Amino acid sequence: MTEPMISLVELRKSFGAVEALRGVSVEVPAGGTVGLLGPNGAGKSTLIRILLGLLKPSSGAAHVLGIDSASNPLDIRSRVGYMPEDDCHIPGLSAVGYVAYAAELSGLPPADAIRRAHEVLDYVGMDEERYRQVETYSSGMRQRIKLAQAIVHDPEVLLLDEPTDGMDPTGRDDMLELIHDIASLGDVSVLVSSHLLHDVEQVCRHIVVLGMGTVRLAGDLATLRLAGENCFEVRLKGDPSAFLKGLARIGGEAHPVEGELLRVSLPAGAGAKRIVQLAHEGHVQVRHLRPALNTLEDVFMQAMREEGSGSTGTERGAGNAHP
Amino acid sequence: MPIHERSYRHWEGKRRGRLSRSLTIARSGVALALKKRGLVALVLLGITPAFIFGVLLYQASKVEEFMGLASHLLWGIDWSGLLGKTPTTQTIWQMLFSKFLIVQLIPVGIVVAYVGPELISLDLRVRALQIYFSRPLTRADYLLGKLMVIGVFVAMVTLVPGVLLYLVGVVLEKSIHVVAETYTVFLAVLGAYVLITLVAGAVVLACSSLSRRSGYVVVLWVMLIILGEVAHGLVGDAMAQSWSHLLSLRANVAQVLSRLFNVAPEYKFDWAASLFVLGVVFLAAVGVLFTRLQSLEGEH
Repeated sequence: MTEPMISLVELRKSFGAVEALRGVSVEVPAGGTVGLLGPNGAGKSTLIRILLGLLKPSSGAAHVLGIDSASNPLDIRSRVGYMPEDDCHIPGLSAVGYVAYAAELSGLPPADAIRRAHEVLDYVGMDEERYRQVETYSSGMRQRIKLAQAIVHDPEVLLLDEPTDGMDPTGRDDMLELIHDIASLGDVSVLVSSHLLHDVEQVCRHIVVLGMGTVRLAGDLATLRLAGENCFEVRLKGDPSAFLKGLARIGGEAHPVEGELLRVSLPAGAGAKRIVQLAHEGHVQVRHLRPALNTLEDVFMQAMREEGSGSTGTERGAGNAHP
Repeated sequence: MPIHERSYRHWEGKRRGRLSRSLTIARSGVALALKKRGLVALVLLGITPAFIFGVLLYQASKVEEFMGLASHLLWGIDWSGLLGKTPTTQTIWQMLFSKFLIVQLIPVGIVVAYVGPELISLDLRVRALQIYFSRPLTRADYLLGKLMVIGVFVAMVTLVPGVLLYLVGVVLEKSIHVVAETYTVFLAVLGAYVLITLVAGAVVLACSSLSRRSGYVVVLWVMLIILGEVAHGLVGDAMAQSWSHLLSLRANVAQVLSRLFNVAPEYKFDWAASLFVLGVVFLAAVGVLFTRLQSLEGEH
């Protein structure tokens, strides 16, 4: 049986009086891409450091591919590639030298390291620039180099911290495409930590939302985006006044979304048939009807609102991100 | 037009052991250091005393001439024990090599001041620690690699000229039997090199881990050396304390080297006290290094 990419059990981490992680439990399956979301101070960076074995948890356990991060950090690091958020490099080295150096630090023989460095630099789209010193690169090129050093030793898990940070729109699209391509191989699991919800929405199948050191939300993104069984997107032809009055009479609501598209919320127990019925009574045609989808921003904001209202982290799907 | 495959490819191969990763760090560190302007000239300047000692070795093969020349060139060597009897080759070499390595402590201090401060502080400045410690690498592997960089440059001004001098001496003696007589000198040169590398390396790396600015680290390293010498001079001269050399890093190393080469000690106080002081300094430096790296790992 394939080990989960990440498994956290009641994970806690304190720095003196400050509790960065407060009993985080979640399991993320291997394969695919997971988005790690959360506001500043939510505990994302602390979690990544624990996963890499750089910090020991105060209590609880963190496993990557079934390996305990506290007792076997080197085993994890040999199977994980990490792209840090910070702009970091080894001065005086060209991109090829830098990526080959990273490969050798992971144990690749020198000949393989240099060959592999060229391969991954080709892959991330670095051409002749690879012979220039890293210090001379733009921030977008540095992001590519950071991705190259993270994948040079062919890891099974990739931890990407703000991978599109500082990139222009074209570079960002390229980076997201690369992440999507790596994840689509099936045998490389990717975790993307980002505050850019649009980026996460584009490449991730699952998300884990952290807030104040707890898991606010976790699960399959497609499922989480479903607004609820009584919420629909509707487009009508004709004057909708009578339809809207009928809807209000039964306790429903409608909000314009885009153009003539409406988001219709029905009272509990009512389904799509009720909308068709109301449209018939209001003498309008239903041209579009499907379950409403939330944007990732909606999902995220809802999770954060629940945080603000004092929820304890047992939201929809929390604790398990299985598809 | 050739078709160039750019898709992601897996790597299949056998990874090398942990020591190779330290060697990688050392190799890269040496290569980067050699790019520094003037380092090669500094090293060459640092080994010039070896030529003087080469001449002395040549003279040592003619013992009587050697005694006269050495007393002129090597001010400070106590020859009294040798007067009235013909010294053996081993005795002469012990004195020559110990004096040579004690003289070389000055170039060691300068070369280490030139190479050492950037070794960790630069990694801190460019946030490179997360590149190292997100890989299968322990703090000890990282530090060993950095220490090896110091070891290479210390070797250039101590071990390499020391071994070459030894070989020159063997050739000048025109007899392989001299090796059997003087192999302890060769071992002492190796021991001295290890001692100097460990002490100088650990101290300069500890200093380097304390700041992101290598300029500050150079100042700290120089201050450690100079303040030690000043304290040694003040306590020794003004207070007439026989233990004053314990305050100086250089003097402690010189004292232990004297014991290593089995020659008259540089200072009156027991050499074991100097070894103890150096041991404490080394352990304190290692403690600082591991503590700093542990906290920095968490930061990044």
